[in-house]
Amino acid sequence: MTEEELFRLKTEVVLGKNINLRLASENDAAFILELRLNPLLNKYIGQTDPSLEKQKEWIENSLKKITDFHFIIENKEGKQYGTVAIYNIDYENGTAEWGRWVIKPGSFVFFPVESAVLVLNFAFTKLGLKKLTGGANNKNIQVVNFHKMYGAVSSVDETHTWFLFEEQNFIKILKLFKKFHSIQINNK
Amino acid sequence: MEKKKITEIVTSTVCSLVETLPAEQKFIVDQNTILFGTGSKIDSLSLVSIIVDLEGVFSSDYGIDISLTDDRAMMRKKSPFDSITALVDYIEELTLEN
Repeated sequence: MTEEELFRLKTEVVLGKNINLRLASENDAAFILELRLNPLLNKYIGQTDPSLEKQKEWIENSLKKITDFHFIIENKEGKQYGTVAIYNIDYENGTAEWGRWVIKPGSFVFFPVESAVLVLNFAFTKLGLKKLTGGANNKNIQVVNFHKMYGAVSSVDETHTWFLFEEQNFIKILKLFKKFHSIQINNK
Repeated sequence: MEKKKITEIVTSTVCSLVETLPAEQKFIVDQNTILFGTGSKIDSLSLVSIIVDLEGVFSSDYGIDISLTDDRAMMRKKSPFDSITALVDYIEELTLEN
């Protein structure tokens, strides 16, 4: 995929069953800041500079890179509910990380699982990646349990549980969560 | 399937989840345990896990295919996830139709 094609991909919306994913823009800076500064949500994520300007700069920088897809999770009416991202993409080796998965309280119960499936599908199908990695603080037990459900845990150390998502295992995830998304499994 | 058996399966599934939680997040599971919504101690990812587990157990161990998240479940006036009792009632309804 050429650089031009990748930038074009950045303008497309990933359509789901109950949610869509679209690239974050500067207009989302306040929402992202609100999410990341929420004490209920930021226990297990990296520290965030509280400056709105810094957040806008950060988003602008992300938009310029083909190695970073920072999505806003929104419902079908365009209301923002969270973020999820594919980043540190290495196109040569087909690898990347996925994370920045933060969803605000009060979201529809199945938004988190659908956003996970959509972002993985985007990475494997649209970006053509082969392997994704991620990690969660060991105390973030709900996220750890979630990834354990489909055997994505690759290792555990003193502080973190590390996950590995491979293209060939993705079909298992699609099947396990089939009721939460509208991706055609037959084509995989 | 007897209601008692359904209650046993649902309670055991929720208890298995609670066992994985750190001490400060553990809670006592009973018939009134709220599975989702106001007052629930279960987050959405854990609820997904419970649903997937339950549907899997009913299908693989008892040959009964149930769907706990289709429109019918979600549109009910009384949500199946209001309590363990509500979920057991809903599953019983589904198993009787199956």
